[in-house]
Amino acid sequence: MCNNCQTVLTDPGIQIQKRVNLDYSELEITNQQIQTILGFKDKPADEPFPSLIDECLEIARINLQIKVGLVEILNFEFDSVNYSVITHDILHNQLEFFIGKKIYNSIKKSEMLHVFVCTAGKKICDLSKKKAAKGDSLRSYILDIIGSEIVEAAMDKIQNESENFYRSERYNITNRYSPGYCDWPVSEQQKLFKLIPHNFCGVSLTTSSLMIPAKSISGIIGIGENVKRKGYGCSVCESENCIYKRLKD
Amino acid sequence: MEGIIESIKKCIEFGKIDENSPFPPDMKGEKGADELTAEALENGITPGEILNQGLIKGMEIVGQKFSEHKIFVPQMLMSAKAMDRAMSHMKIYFNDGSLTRKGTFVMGTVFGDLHDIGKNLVTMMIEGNGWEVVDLGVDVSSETFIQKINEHPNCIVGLSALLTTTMVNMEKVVNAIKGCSPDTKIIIGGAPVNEEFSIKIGADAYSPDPQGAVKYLEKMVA
Repeated sequence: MCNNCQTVLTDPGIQIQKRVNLDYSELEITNQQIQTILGFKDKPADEPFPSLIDECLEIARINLQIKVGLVEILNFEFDSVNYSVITHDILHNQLEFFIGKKIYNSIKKSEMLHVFVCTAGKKICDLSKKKAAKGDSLRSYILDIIGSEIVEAAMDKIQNESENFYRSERYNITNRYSPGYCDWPVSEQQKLFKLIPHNFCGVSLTTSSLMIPAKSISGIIGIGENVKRKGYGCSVCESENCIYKRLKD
Repeated sequence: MEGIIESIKKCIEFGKIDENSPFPPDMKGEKGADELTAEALENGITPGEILNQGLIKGMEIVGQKFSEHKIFVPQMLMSAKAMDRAMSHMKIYFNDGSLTRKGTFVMGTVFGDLHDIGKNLVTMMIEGNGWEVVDLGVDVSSETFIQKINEHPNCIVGLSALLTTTMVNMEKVVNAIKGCSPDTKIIIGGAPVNEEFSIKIGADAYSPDPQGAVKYLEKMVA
């Protein structure tokens, strides 16, 4: 799957591989990057924002608990009528994911699927909440933004490693897609979590499909000879309220 | 008098908390909302003038700039901090009745949802515009909203949700509130909701940003 992944468990149709530790130093999160997410994309932010970002990046560095987990799905089929993917495994017999037309078209030529979970851990979420409770809304907000950025950067890294690994075997990968992207309902997260072990990487799901810890992401990636990873995932999404899409625009 | 009130307004607009605060850079070393509010009161300016002509006017500008994407969340939070510091001098006047709030706003993120940044920005702006805010936090049940409405019978209620899976809970909360208290006005907000959804679930208003919520509340007490 990727050079840094360790196989933890294998069963017919599903193979679970997990890379437990990813160090902050392996990610390239910069002060400028966080400034851009905070809104300062046209000119650098005035003090105290750059200093506060540095301070919060240091807090994050000390308190991050990045974990990434991948599950290989080998036994599945696509349904072009419902724009769905149907997985088969011993435990659930079959699960049908209604991923919507856009995601369907991006992954329909996949020969294998990866279900992924990635988290920045509980500590950074707790620290952000503690700052807010003490009336320090600014540091709380910056830590929240850093947490989101880190979890995406961690998954970018794993996805890039995965892409390099498969490229050597003449396979390509797709963009990563999560419930909530495009027309894939957030509620489908419940089914996605049935394909991964309980509390995989320390991430659990509430009944309203919120991941705990909050700074976590999950979704699927397609792998195959005839799939393609597109430059920027937001180009196919029509969400008007997403902070990342607004920044891109 | 006008000079110091204008200066207080400017401190709120630009997030100048106190003299020691380095932000904004072009006001470094100048007095902030903290010192100027205390000074204005010492000079006999009424708390009402300071609140209405200085603090609230400053916060209105902040809300407007945020709506127009001229400032971002961090600057808004600095303004809220400056407002908070100035308001610490005004508490005594609210307690003795010399100052009154425009009304009470009860706000929470609906049950099932744990997101609070959007809610917090709305409550900061509304509080800064002279309202008493009862912040119920996140994952708030219909029963808790109703309990608070009973404690504050003339309040206006704000509901927040960030996910398509939790926006549906807004309808349950709206139905529960309207069932017990049909005259209570409810405004909703959050990334997945819009005007159409607000009408569909029987809420009274929708706002895409904090300033829209402030304007709706102002309309309700006009």
